[in-house]
Amino acid sequence: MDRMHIEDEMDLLDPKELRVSLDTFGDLKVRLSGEAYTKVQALRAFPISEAMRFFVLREESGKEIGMIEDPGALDPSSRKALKEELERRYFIPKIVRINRIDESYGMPHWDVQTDRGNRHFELQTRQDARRLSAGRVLIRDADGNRYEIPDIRKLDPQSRALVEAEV
Amino acid sequence: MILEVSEETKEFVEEIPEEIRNALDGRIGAEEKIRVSVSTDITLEGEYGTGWLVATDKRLMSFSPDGTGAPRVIHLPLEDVASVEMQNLFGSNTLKVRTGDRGIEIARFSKSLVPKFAQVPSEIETLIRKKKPLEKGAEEKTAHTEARSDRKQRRCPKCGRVIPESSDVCPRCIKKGKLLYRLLGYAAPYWKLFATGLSIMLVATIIGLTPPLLMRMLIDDVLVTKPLTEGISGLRTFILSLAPRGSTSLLALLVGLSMVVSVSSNGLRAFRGYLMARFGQRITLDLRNKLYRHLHVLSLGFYAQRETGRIMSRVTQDVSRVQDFISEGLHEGIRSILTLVLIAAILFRLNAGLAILVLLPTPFLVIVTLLFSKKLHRVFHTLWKRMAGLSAILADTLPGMRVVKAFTQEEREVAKFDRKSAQLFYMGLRAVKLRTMFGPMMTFITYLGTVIIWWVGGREVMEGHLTLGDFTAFTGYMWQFYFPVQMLCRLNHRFQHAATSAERVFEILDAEPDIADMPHATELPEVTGRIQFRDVTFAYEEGKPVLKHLDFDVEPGEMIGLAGHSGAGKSTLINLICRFYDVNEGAILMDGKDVRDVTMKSLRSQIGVVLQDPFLFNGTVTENISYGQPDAAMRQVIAAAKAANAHDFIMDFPDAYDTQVGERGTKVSAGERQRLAIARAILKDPRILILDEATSSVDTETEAKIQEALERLVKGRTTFAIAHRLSTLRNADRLLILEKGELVEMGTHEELLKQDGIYAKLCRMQTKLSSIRAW
Repeated sequence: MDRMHIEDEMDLLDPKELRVSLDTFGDLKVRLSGEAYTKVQALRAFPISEAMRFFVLREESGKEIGMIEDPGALDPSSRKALKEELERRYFIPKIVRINRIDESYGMPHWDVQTDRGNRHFELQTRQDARRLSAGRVLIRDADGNRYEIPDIRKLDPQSRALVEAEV
Repeated sequence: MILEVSEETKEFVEEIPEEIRNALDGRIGAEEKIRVSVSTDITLEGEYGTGWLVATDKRLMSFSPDGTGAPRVIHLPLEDVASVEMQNLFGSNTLKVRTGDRGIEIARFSKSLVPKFAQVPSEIETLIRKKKPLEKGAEEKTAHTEARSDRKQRRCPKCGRVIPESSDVCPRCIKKGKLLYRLLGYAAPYWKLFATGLSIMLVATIIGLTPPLLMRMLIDDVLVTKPLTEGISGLRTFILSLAPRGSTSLLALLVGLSMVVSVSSNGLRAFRGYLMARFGQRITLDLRNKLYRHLHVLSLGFYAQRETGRIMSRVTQDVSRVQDFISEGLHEGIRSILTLVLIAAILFRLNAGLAILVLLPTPFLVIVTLLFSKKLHRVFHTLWKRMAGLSAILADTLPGMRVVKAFTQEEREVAKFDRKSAQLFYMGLRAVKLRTMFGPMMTFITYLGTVIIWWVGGREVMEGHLTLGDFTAFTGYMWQFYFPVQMLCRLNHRFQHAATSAERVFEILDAEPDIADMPHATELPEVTGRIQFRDVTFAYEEGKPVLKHLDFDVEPGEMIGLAGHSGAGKSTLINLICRFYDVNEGAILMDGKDVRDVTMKSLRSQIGVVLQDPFLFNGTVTENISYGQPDAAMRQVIAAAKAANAHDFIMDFPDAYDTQVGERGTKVSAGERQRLAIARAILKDPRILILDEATSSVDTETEAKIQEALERLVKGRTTFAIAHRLSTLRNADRLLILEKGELVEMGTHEELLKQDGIYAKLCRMQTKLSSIRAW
């Protein structure tokens, strides 16, 4: 008896057989070797550590259609549709400047400027602002919204000082 | 002559009292040597009293007082003795001798003497074998191994005192000086830092001692310029050469000098403080990391004996106390001693007679300090233990909150905590009481010095033997002198703290892992998965074997189901395969190699374990799946999760594989944890797989998913599966049924049913149960 080969379990979709598009409702449509799926969900397997690879396509019911490892292998229009859908689903504004961080009752209030505009939010605890490797900071506010500082070292000195004191 | 003691067996020979000597005289021959003579503390009648066990080359004799005068004597020629065994009874032990047809008790003793008697049976057996060497091999192994002394030393080998349960070292035998020396060993790499700090300290201390001298000049040379009666020297000569006595310029010079002194000595002090703190932190860094590393080296047996809370407080609290001492205490101590010496020198130079009087109270200071320190050490030791006990309660109760609530034992737990907390409070009060008494007492003794100066010095000034300046300088220095003495005293209690903590830290560092790689251990090459048990016997506690004479072979790729009542030894068997413990007798072979002859790392890297309640670390799903293989590719992680039927629920988390699990993360159910653990095992891709109740505590649907994942996992691997639900063992190639540590049945499901033994019975019971449940 041979031991299993785990890579066989991956169930990767063949990019040549795969067509992804957005239909008139703005929903993701997938055609895969003759079969068509509508209202498809595209999910990132690693939304934080590897946002641009490993996507899961799911039917409306939640059943998995299959996985895409590298969107680069898709045809350009499919790639574009997939990218649009993913960007819609994963809304993680990037913080470019921090105006101030106050604290009351142990809960930090952040007043920031993001690439999507200004924002004011509260954290439940300081641990909700997590520092990852290479100066990256991920923030989840009290309501479950996400923010990201791609590289703390690239912030202006004042913003940086404010963040360093927090995370 | 006849009582000549043989050299080679000295450790078993005690000095025999006159009375027994006389009793022996008529009974043993002139050429016979006494090989064993040990005293007991319980008579054969079961009363406290001293009996004697004596063995020569020819015979075995026992003398036991029976209250009537002459002791009861048992006399046995060695030829008649078949075996000697030590029996571990409740509260006492006996030595029993068996002859061909009967058993005779020859010695009885309390548990305290067990270490002394431990080797006596085998020693006697050696004598027997010498006497009749042609005995059959069957007699080779006698029962004396059954009851050797406890594995853990209960008494200090040096002073004989009982060692506290939470500790492995005798608290009274620690040598604080030695501890200090050992701590300094950690300081050695940073000696340059230390030397710099020390020299700065030296300079700062000397500068810091000049103000009273300047004060003296201010009075004698500026304010009250009496004609000089004696020669001047040193610093004073130099300063007077710059400005004449009684002049304003001299005043200005002195003011200027005192400014310089103040600025420089304080500046240097700050710098020295920084250097020494850095020195202390460096050492702590090393110590802390070494300690943590060692905690990972220690085997599971170490953790079985100790509470996690206590170990935790050693890594955090104790280490920081040691740091406090090294960075603060140590250099304060050196500085104080330095100051003392310098001031004493100056005082003697100023006026030797007065100096002796002033220093008179010092011995009292020292004596009081020593007395207090002894008491303080004891109190603080208890205080520390109480504190650790309190955190142990927290570490114990808080995770078990569900159980507490389910049994509505909140009140009891609170009461328990209150009691311990109150004990800590009283102990703390005692410590405070001692300490608060200490301070005022010191101050009072110190004040005696002032009184002496006022009286003696004051009269000398009145009589003109002493200048006003000298008098002032004396007063100034005296306070500066007693301050370091007090400092040293306070330091003493700090040292007590640190010594206790250091002792605890070193206790862990000194603990030897029960299981370590042999010096000749080799790497275990990739195995095929053949496992052989060769007459394996194992006991966690000596004398209570949990596994007895297990002997079986497992073929590569075979799946073995382990069943039996709880406590039958199933989990122990698995602990042995992983080599969490070492077998007492026999051997476990993996692909023909004894597991003790290969490195633990190479062995365990080929074993995958899925436990009943898998442990997830703080970290992401990915980190948990790839715990054994941190460098696994993302696609492998996904593939493993898919194979473990974990992928779908992982993708339901918004953060998918980047989801934080563990303490501050997403809640993961028991079944999900189980599947993550299976994914972990799949990714590790081990040759040997251990499933310890992997499907218990989940619902039926989840069990089906896990079962499916497991079937994929076990393919082609040697698998040991423990399960209470026997249905989950249906895929097993063979079943091993353990009963009280013995292998009682072995075979396939059908074969065992046919045998109609324990397994068949267990099966019937479970079918009955499940039919009740299904209804």
